[in-house]
Amino acid sequence: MEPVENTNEDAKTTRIYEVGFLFVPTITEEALATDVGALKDSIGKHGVAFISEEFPKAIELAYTMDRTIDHKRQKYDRAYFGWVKFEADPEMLESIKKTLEANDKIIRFLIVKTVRENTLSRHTFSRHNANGNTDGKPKTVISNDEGNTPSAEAAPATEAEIDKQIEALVVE
Amino acid sequence: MKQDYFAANNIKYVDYKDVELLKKFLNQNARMIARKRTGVSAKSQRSLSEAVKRARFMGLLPFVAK
Repeated sequence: MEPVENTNEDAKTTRIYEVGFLFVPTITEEALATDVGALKDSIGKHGVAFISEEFPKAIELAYTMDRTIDHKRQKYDRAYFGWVKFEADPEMLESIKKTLEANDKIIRFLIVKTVRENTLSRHTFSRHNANGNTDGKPKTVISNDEGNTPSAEAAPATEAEIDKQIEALVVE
Repeated sequence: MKQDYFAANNIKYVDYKDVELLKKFLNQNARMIARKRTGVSAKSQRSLSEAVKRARFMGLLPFVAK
């Protein structure tokens, strides 16, 4: 039996990945752009195609994290959280990971497989449960576009409304 | 009638960064609410649990809350 040769070079598989990262809070707001640029450059060297990103924002961490930098354990309660989404060859992932591990300005990072579309949903809730409709068919479902893409003109629901609607969902 | 929130809203990918959404499926101790109570399908619950764990790792959600 002859081995089958794969002559289709164009069929090189790439996947969509996302890197979420936490920058140390000691970076100043002004220097942040430079560090993000450096991070993107270091990832970009691996032949990736950037799709989208979110500039890091200062957040209060849910718990204290520590990271050893220069043989000293540093504790962090705050950090800058940002992410970049890109398309890359799965084989390049290991080297991207090593690059991120070597970056002293990153407390933690997370590489996940994701989809090209925007995955952040606007909190739209179906109302049929709240109205006591029990036929199991959603009638007035406020749904997002295909792939969770939030529509620009959709008015954001207020916190109180969201709470009310989730309560309705939770009630058996 | 229980309804899968994710199916009803056409959410195919539960994003770990969507903290406000994830919080709706956690109780006061930051533990996940059983799908028996929320009505989430088994498949969505698995995605949700993955997202919650990722959010916890990144410090967006606590592992435990008082």
